Amino acid sequence: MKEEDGARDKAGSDQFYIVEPCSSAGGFEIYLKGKKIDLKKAETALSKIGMVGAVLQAVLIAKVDGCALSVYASGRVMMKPGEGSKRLGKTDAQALARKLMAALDKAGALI
Amino acid sequence: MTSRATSATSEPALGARAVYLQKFQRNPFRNREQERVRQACFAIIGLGGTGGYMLENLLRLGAERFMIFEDDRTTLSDFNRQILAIDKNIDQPKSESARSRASAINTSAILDIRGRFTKKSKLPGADVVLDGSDNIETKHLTAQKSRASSLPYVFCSAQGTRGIVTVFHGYPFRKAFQLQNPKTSAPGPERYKRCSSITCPAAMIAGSLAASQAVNALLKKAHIKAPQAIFFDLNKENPFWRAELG
Repeated sequence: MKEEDGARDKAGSDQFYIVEPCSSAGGFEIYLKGKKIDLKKAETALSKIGMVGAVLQAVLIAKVDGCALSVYASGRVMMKPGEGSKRLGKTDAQALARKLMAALDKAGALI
Repeated sequence: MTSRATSATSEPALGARAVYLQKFQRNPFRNREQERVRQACFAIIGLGGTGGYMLENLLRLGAERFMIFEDDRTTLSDFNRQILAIDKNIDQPKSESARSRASAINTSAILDIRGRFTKKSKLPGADVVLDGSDNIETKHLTAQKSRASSLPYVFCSAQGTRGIVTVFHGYPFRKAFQLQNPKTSAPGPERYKRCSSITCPAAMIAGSLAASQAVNALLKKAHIKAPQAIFFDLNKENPFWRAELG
């Protein structure tokens, strides 16, 4: 059972929400509302604001602002603090989500 | 959504029966017991670490009817422990992966996919409920719904290298876990709200034990009953023991 974050955010024209699946895991997940992600375009977009590690058929691995990302074509992004990075707080997660969604939206990766 | 798990080489009805008997002939059941397992409906809550192994074991035991509550997709972080987590299933709905897996074992298996288990969820026609969920709120809710329907509720939990399995036949879940009243406070103490890593052996053993206990409960054979439970810790010299919950 996931607890949906009460505060919803918007980036560009696309709405998304953030959930914290495990409070002890220190990670957050972004779910797009009614949108999917074009991983090819996402690779280009995320390369500009971070580092892309791998692109598989349905998932892209990247690192942005010290945070490890798994970007899924179905419209889900998992964010976890990278090794040695401090725990991700809710405010930090929301800020990073806005940054990611803006970059993806600008690149036309939200489809 | 209910659908039969099909494959390109589905057998005709009589042939399917013969194939079924051949496939599951080495199960240690009498004919009527095997038939009871085949016809029973097993409700499984969650297809994650433990739930995936519940399904796998029940399929191997010859079960053909399942009610599945799951709405998640396979992610990379599932690979260390979940049987349905393989490359071709990444980002795919776990329920669809389960359908494919079931079909590969028994083309007659029927999976009734019902999305996430919520307060509105019902268990029509279920004979046993197996809990593969990963949080105390869903477990409490599932236990309550099972109790209201007088169904055996198979509790299953795995964390790290440890696990707990038992079967509730009406024994109050809240009493077993010493939960506070949800009307006056949070539904569970903080110690149950943590989530941590789970190893594949723990998930596999817990899920397999749960499936075994579910079938025994269905067949009215010997099985553990709450508040007693089977505990294990794979890092101990004597990894299995029996104790009371709470």
